[in-house]
Amino acid sequence: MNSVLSVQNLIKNFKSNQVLHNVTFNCKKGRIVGLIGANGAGKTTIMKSILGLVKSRGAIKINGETVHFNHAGGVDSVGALIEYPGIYPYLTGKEHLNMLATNENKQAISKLISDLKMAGYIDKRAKNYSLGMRQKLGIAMALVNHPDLVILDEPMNGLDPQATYDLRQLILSRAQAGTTFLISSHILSELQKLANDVIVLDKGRIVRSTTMGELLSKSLKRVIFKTSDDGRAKSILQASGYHLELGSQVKITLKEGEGIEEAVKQLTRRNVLIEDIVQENNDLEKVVLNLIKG
Amino acid sequence: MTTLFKQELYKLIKRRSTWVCIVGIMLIATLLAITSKLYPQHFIPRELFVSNYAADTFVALLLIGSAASIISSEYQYNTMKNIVCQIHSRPKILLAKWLLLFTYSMFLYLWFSGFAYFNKVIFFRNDYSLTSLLRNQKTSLWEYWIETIFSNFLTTWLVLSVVLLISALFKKSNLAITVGVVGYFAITIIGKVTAQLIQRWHFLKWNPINLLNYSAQIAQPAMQKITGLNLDQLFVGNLIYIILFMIVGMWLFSNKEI
Ligand SMILES: Nc1ncnc2c1ncn2[C@@H]1O[C@H](COP(=O)(O)OP(=O)(O)OP(=O)(O)O)[C@@H](O)[C@H]1O
Ligand SMILES: [Mg+2]
Repeated sequence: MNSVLSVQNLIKNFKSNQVLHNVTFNCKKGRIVGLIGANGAGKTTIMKSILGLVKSRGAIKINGETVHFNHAGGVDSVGALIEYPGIYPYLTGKEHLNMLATNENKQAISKLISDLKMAGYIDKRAKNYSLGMRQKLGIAMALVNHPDLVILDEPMNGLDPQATYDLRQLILSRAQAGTTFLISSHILSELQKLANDVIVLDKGRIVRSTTMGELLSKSLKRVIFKTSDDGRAKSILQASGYHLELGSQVKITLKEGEGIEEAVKQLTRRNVLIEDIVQENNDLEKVVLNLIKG
Repeated sequence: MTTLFKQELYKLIKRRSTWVCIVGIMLIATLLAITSKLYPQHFIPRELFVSNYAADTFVALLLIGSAASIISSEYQYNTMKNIVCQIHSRPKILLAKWLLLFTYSMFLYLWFSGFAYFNKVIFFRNDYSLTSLLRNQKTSLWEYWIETIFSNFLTTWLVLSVVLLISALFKKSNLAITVGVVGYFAITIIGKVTAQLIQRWHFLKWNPINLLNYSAQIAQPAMQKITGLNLDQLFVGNLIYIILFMIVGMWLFSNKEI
């Protein structure tokens, strides 16, 4: 099996409060796995359990080696950023990376610094770093030893658009080279661009675990027409068998494999002028909101 | 383990406060050496020399602060997660920190003993010699000096083991520092009370606060009436309590979630 990470029946209680209920999933080599869930769903707790930061029940294996609370075989193959980056104010960014890097990875530090565009401040003490600077350093620290598995909790937290873009490129290129990522994020549009697989978590239970493509294709497409006569347009479309959504706009939902050509044809044939067509794209946000609501 | 120890050493060396404290203590020691040269009646040169010109006290306080922050600062900076992710073994993490603290304490005691000797040579070259005998006409000054340094080192570690235990329990350092400082001065604060208690209940002589009298009893052998223990017993008692507190601290830390 080429599972880099395997989580089986993970259960976690904080005192009497059960936070994770039999969570089971696998992360395959080179995949970017997105972990999605509302605040308090248990994303951070799953990550902490995988890293042996908290005590939990169930079986967690990294590269086939079981992770215990105080012992783990494959640990040098994991890099992580959980919640906030841990940074010593009296060290510079460079010193952080130098301290963590193993000998064979010392060479690659400067490449990492330039990839994340940190050269401007990397030699200053971390005490005065801004939120985004700290975040970038935390990510760099997770990546510096080129681990097989990288666990990132809200990595885009505090990053500007350029930095978000740079980080995405870096993650994609590392994944291409075989690194496995487990990433949690509330910025679903970002995750949509990044993740190959998606795990949706609701109140400590996995409600969906699938590939991004499949999750999105199962969802419905919506199209909004702006026309010269919305009232007539509505009745024409309804008569042609389209499902109209409630509201003043002319909004139809398309079934799987269905295009908008037929609807356009119907409208123009009856002399309804189409001023604009807005297609609501397959949107991870909507899919997820539906899943969690349901 | 070696990696962790190297990282701890790196952090200690890179901290400005490390060097500020060492230079500060050197200044105080030099000032006291000069003062005792100028006013030998009030500041007895030999006694001050034996205490490394008061550096021993300041080193103990510095070590208490370091011991309290060596664990809690990792929580404060949110870096404990990084370390656990890296090593995955709390016992090894704590062991590396203990080893660092031990190395640091050895270094400080040796350094300030050397510095005291340097000050003695500079200011008191002709005043007294290390081979001169003490009032009891048996021990020489240098033996007394070495014994005092050693006993200070040991009792400081007794306090440090308690500080390390408390900081393994709580994520904040203030309680550990408070207990450490109060513990270090406990003898001066409640020494009379414990002495009375020991008179009444004999077994209480084995309480850890009484064991802090080790250095005092080396200076004044008559102390044995109060402590109820001889020097060898004080030595072994200190050692046993240190090991005991360290084991409890290790157990507590090994079960800690982060
Ligand atoms: N140390 C703790 N003690 C008690 N309960 C905790 C602790 N840490 C987390 N919890 C509880 O576990 C649940 C899951 O928390 P977790 O931090 O994993 O959520 P999350 O999915 O990461 O949320 P967010 O999106 O806000 O980061 C929450 O109900 C939280 O209250
Ligand atoms: Mg979280």
